[in-house]
Amino acid sequence: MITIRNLRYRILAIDDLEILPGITTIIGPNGSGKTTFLKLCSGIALPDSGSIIIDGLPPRESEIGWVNEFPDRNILFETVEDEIASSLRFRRVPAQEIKAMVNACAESVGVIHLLNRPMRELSGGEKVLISLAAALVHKPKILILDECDSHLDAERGREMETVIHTMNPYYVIRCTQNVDSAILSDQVLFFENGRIVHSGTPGQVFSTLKNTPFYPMTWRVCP
Amino acid sequence: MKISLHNIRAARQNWSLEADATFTEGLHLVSGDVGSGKSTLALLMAQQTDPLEGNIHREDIHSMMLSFQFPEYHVTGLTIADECESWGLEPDTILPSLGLNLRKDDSPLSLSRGELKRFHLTCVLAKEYDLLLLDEPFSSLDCYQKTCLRTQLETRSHGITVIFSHEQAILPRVSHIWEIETGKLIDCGTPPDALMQWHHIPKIIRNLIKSGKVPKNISPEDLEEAACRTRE
Amino acid sequence: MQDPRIRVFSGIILSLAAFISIPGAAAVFIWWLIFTPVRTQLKRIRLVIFMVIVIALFSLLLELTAGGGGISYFTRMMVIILIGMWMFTEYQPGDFLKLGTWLFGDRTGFELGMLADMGMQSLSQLNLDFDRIRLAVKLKGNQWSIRNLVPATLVLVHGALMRAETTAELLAIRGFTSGGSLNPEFSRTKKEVIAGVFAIVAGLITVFPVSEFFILS
Repeated sequence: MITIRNLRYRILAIDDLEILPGITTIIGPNGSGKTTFLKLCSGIALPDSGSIIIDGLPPRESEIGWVNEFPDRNILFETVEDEIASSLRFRRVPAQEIKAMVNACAESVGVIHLLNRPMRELSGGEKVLISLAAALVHKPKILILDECDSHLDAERGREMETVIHTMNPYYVIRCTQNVDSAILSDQVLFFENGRIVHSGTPGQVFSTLKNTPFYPMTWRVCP
Repeated sequence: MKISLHNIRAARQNWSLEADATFTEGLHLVSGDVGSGKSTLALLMAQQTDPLEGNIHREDIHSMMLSFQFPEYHVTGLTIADECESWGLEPDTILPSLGLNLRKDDSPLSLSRGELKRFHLTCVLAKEYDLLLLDEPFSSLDCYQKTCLRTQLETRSHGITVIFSHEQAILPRVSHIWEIETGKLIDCGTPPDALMQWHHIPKIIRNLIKSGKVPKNISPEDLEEAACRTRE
Repeated sequence: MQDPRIRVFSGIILSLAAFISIPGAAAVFIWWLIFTPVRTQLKRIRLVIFMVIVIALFSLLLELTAGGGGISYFTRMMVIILIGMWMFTEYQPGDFLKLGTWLFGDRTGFELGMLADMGMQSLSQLNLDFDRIRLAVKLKGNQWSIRNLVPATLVLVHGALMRAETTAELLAIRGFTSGGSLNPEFSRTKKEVIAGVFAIVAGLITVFPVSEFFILS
C-alpha cells in the first residue's frame, strides 16, 4: 500500500490517503495539483512536510517508471534501442543481459520492429509507446503516467492500455483527461485546488460528478 | 468562400497523403491516427509547405490562421503581455478573463501546459479568420476547458474552421466530417449520414449506432438526445 | 562513414594536416573530394556561411595588416570547415555514446558520450525551434526582422532550459547516478578503412616535405 500522511507541497495539501495496488486514475481540472502529486509519488520532488511511503519505502528508494505528457520530452537518447535500454544501463545491468531484456520488453509493447529506428523519425504515438517501454523495461513496482494519452489517438490509446495490463506493474498511478478510461480503474481520485475532493471506486467518485464535464460520456449515454 | 485541394500529394519517409477535396464555410472535423498526416494537411492548407503534386485554390479567403498542437510553437513574446500584443490584442482585455493579469510580466513558457494552451486558443479565437485551422485544439485541455472550447467553436458564425483532432468524447457539432485513412483524405459527408462512413468514429457513437440510436450530430448533447430518444 | 572511431580519428588528422600547411590543405581537399558525399554536404552550406564570413574578414585583416598570410589562412580554414561539415553530416545518433565508452570506459566515457549526444540533439532541436519561431511570427501577420532576434533567442534559451529540467528529471527517475553499462559495437566497410589510411597519408604529406617523396632538385 502507498500511504500518504499530512502531505504539503506548493498548492497540494493531502492529510490522509491510501493507494491500493492496481490502477489508480487521477482526474481534475488543470492546475489542481495532479502533476505535482505524481512528481511527489515518483520522488522527482520532495514534500515540504508529511510523508509518502510505498510499501515501507520512500519513493526515491522504490523502483519507478515514469512517462510524462509530451512525446518529445520523454526522450533521452536518439535511437530506440538506446532509449529503451537506458534504465538498465544506468542500473549497471550487465551489457549481455540488456539486449535480451530490451528485446523482450519491445516485443511485449509491440515496438520490436522500431528498435533500429532513430527516435526523430517516429510518430508521436510511437514515441509514447517507446517511452512506456523505457519505463517498464526494468520491471518497476510503480508505473506513473502523467496524461501521456492526451496526444494519442484511440487506437494507440487502446494499445497503451493493453501494454499496461500485460506488463502489470504492482501500482499504476495515472493522470488523464480521458475520463472514460477511468471507468475501468480500481481507484479514482478527483483533485481540485490542491486537494483530493473525491476518492473511491469509479462508481463512487463519478456519482458525485454527474452534472460536470468530468462525468464519463459512456455512462451519460449508456447508464 | 472555399478552399479546394486538387490532387494533392505529400510524402515523408514512412507515409504519403493524397487529398482531393473542397472545404466550404462551416465547421469541419478531420480525424485520423497520430502520424497519418493531419498536421501536414494543416500545413498544406495554410500554405506553409508545398505538396509534391497538385495545387490548392482559395476563393474569397483573405485571412488565415493555423494553430499548432503544441502552443509553445507559437510563443514569440518575452512576457505574457508581449505575447498578447504579438497577436495584435490588448493584454488588459484578454488576460483578466484567463486569470493571468497578475502574471503579465512572466514568461509565457512558465505557464502550465493547460494554461498556455488556453491562453493561446483565447488569442486565436479572439479574431475572425476566413480560414481557421486548428491542429489538436483539445489536447492538453481539461474537461471544463474542452467544453468551453466546444461552445466557442460552435458559435463561430464566419468562415471555414477545420479541426484536426482525435478527441473522442467532447466534440462540437460539425457541418462536415473527414478522415485520413490509408494515406487518403476521405470525405465522410455531413452528419448524421457521415457517421455511417466514418472509420475513426468514437466508440461511444459507434455503440449508439449499433443499438439503433443514430445521433443527429456528434456533440455530447446530440449523443444524450439520441440515447434518450430510444428509451421513450 | 559508419565507424565513428575512424571518422573522428580521420577528422582530427585531416584538420591538423589542413591547418599546418598549404600542401596539407591541398591533400585534405583531394581526400574530401574522393571519400565524402560532396553533394550532400553542399546542400547544407548555409549552416557555415556565417563562419565563412567571419573567417574571410579575419583573413582580410591579416593580409592587410600583418604583411600577408591571409590568403593561406583562409584557404586552410575553408578546408577545415569542409572536414567539419563532413563530420557533422555523417554523425549518426548514438555515435558519441559508443565512441566515448570505447575510449574512456563505462563511467567517464559513457557520461561524456551521453552528454555529447544530448548536445547534438539540443542543437538540432534549437534549429527546429528557431524555424518554428520564425513561422509563428509570420502566422501572426508580423514581419520577421533583426528586431525579432533578441526575443527569439530568449524564447529559445528558455525552452532549452525547460527541456534540460525535464531531462534531469528523466535521468534521475531512470536511475542514473554515474556512467552506464555498454558494450559498444561498431561496423565498418572496406572503403572506410581505405579512407582512414589515406587520411594518415594526407597527414604524413604535411609532416614530411613533398620533396622527400619525390626526388626534386
